[in-house]
Amino acid sequence: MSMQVTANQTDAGIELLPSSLVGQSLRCVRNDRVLFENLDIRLNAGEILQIDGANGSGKTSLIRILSSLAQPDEGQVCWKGKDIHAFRTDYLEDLLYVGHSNAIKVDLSLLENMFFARALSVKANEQIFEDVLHRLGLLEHADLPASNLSSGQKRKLALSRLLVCDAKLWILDEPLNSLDESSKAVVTDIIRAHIKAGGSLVLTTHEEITWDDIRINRVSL
Amino acid sequence: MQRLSSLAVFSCLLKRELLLGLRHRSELLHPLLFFLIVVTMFPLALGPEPEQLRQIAVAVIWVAAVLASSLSLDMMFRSDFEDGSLEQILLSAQPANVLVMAKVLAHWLLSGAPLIVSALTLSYFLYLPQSATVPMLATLLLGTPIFSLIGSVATALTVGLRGGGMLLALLILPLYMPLLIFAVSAVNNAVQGLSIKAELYFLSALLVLALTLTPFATTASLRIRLS
Repeated sequence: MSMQVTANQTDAGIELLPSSLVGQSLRCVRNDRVLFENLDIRLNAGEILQIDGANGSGKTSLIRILSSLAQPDEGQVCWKGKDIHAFRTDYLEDLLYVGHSNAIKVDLSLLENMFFARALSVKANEQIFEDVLHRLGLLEHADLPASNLSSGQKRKLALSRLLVCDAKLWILDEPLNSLDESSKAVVTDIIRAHIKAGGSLVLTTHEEITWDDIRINRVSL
Repeated sequence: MQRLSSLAVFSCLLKRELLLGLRHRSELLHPLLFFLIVVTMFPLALGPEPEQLRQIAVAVIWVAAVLASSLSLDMMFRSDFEDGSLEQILLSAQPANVLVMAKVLAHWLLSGAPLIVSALTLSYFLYLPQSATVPMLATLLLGTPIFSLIGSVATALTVGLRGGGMLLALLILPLYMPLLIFAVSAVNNAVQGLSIKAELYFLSALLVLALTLTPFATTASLRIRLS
């Protein structure tokens, strides 16, 4: 279903900005239940796409489709005008995904987890791990196994990828889950800095995010 | 910003898998203990007559190795599937086939290599002639990586499935049969003083084929399971 799209315009005629994520006529069926159909989404550089919906409404399915982990039953997702499955490597170079699971190895220390997470990224920031852990309030646990962390601390460790990997598009599934108020503030600051630097973000969250100077597109399922 | 090469990422993932394996020794020991127990049961059941044990030694060691190997396959992708690491691996811009190969190599180093050492030790207790030791080593060196490579495809197809362990065994054991036939035949030929070249060539060809094709099949299977 790869539809070739020109650099700045999709076949449907939607004009694309250089870093835009466009989903057209997306349809997703799970267990004979239509989660969503005819769904169009669009995200430009410096914008946020927030996906709302009740539990089981298909938020995570949409996130997985947008991240290329799953294919839509109908429709197409393009990044910079190219189908994300046909040009997977190009897309993945620009993508950072933090899913519902933390992707943390509890038998490894925090520093080891960060080291291996950064290794998987093609573009890695030369951030010093200790600085990142200090910012997230995890420095004192740096050399301990991640099994010692609480669920909120594990979530913060998962989100440390935002700082050690370099990507234009972040896709985050419930990033603020399990975080206390001060940690939420730290993470939203990180998100804000990313958007201000011209990055894009797709996220699902039950939290209210409002910034006057940042455009937030909302999709309700 | 630094750009890591595929080889560097392969080494990193291999190191991570070995670290995790060594910190989770019990998972590694279970298939090895199973192998030791199965092989030990035959002298107990058949009696200690050297001639009888010598005749069945090769078959016993290889069948036990096949069964122990199929037990260890389950751990190849299970924890990565459960904790979300598999998503990160498949969403890495690094070639997924290379990353999958690192995991398969780690699996072989952690389960196949100890099996070879144990098999050689146990062959002594089963009165396998010394002339058969090198052929046994050669077949195990060629055969155990094939276990891991072919097994990775079946494991990828069944990871996260309820009752996946039994399904995995049913999928994988028939695929190991040609390997079993040629490996046992090679060692038996060596005992009788015959050439084992044909069998070793076949096993080598099978290893090359598995090395060439299974990384793609495993990656595709993992993508299907995660989609």
